[in-house]
Amino acid sequence: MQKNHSPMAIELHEVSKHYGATLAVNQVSISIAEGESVALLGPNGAGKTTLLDMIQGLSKPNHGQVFVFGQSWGEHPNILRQLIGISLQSTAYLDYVTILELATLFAKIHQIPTPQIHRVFERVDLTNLLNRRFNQLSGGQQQRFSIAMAILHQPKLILLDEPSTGLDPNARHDLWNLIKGLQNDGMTLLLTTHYMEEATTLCRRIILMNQGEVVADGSINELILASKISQCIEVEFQEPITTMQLESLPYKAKIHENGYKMSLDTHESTRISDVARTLSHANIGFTSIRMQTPNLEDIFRHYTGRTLS
Amino acid sequence: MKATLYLTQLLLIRFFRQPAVLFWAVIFPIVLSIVLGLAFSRPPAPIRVGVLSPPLIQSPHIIWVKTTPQTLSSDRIKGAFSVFLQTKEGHWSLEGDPAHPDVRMATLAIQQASSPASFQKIHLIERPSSRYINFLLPGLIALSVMNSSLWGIGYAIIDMRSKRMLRRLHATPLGLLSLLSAHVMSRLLIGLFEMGVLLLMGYWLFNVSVQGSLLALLMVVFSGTIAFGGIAVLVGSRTDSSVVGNGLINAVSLPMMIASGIFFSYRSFPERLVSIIEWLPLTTLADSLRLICNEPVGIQFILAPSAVLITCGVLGFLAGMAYFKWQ
Repeated sequence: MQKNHSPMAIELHEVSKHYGATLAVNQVSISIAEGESVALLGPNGAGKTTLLDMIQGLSKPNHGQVFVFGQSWGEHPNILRQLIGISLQSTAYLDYVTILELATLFAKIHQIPTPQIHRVFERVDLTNLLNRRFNQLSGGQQQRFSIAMAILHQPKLILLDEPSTGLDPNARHDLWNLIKGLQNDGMTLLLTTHYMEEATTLCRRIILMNQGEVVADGSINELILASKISQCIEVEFQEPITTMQLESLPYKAKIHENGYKMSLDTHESTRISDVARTLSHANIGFTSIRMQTPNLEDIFRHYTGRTLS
Repeated sequence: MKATLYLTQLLLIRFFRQPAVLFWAVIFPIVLSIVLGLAFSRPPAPIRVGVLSPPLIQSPHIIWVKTTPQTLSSDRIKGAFSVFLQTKEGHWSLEGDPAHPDVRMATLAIQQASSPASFQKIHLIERPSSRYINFLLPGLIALSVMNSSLWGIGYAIIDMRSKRMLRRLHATPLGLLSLLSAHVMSRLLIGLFEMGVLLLMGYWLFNVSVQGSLLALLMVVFSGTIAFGGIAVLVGSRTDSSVVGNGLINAVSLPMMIASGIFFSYRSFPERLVSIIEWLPLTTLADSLRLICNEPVGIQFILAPSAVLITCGVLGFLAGMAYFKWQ
């Protein structure tokens, strides 16, 4: 099936996938335009990898349709494979061969001339390690090699499955810089992650998944607005706040940590100085007071009732 | 095609860079053939025959072990002799397990020694190809082709699946046929290398040379690799567990290793079983190799067994492709 009029890099129409009795993906519909960067965010078992598998043609949906650049996987799968570059979660490449030999294999498969291998290795900063074996590389170097293999054939769409899982902060930031470079080249990017920071750093659009379903889709601001989570002010006390003191306040408050901490749901117009003045009038001593704006974690908790970690 | 050939090359590079694999695939069969070849090439030791008083006959094949009526039983239990010769009123009788080869050999040796005239008519002509090493070496080549294919293709595919390398390759334009062909081709080259090493070693140490056509030899090794390559593809087609893979490969290889007459002739099995054993791929391969190594035969003698092996391999390959799971 072909949809040549589609300008979308990825289109999913009511896609479902089950493994036996387990429903991994349920009625998911998503469109991603060319050049967009999208993070698929969700906890383990949310269905992110299954969705990615169907987009990259590694598994077929039980229901619904998947189009990549307007084409389905049923026709010309090899053309689609040339358009997509993928980096899978924890792939161990062939052992006992060097990364240059591995890259040569991928180049031969994609019919890429040899100089392109060296250009890609330069880009991912692995030129000095060409004679190392994959298992002799550090975690960050392995991920960079994996991305090198994904972009070797200059694809239009790149799919990254949890690219920075298990990396230390330095390696993670190096990897993010590499991915930002790919975005600047105009590549469409879809990545799965369960790191909030990764999603917000690399992508303008975030799709939240939980238990096989898309629970929210949009930019971080759109998600905050749609969730209607209000900002809150957090107050910490030296002595636990009493029920009587709490009832004297003109705010809807939640008590945490046995009365040592309080969070107030407030309106946008409410200022910290107003809250401080009110507490002083009520003779309630406090050690700190600060404004808390909702983050992706709050939004995720709001939609799913779960945390990401 | 370039990718298939390069993958074949990479798999070969990988093989030669693994010292443990090199040991089991090349050095171990050599050591085995040397040990067994030397063990069974020595002339048989004389048979120890228990007697109360040594008879007046001499034979180079017999050592008389003197015993007494009191110690007879304990000497026998302790293994001082496996045959006991009793002489009573001119009648000789041998006591022992009729199925034990020593009893038969002792009977013949005593008969020969007591009436040498009848045995003078028999001349022993030594035939080099009848040595045990001539039986063993082609069997070891067949065994090495089977093991090399089952482990080198079947287990390697399972390992690639469990490490997600297959999944990664599935996202490229490399087709299943190319992937599997590269595995089979690399094993064919490794099989030829292993055979070459074993034959050179056999020639150098035991003066074993190939009597038949070299082309026929290559054809049989090719057919054997196709047969076991196909079986290996089927074995490795679905599981991603190395433990299950290990079990599957052993379930396929061990019965053939025992029954197909690699170390000793399968003709000792009951006739009904032999008619089944003869059709096993390893038996077909080993018998064909023995024929070519020990008889001056041409390619026409191995056409039928080669066809059987190739058919078996193609069926396994097709079934493996049909059931194949990339992840």
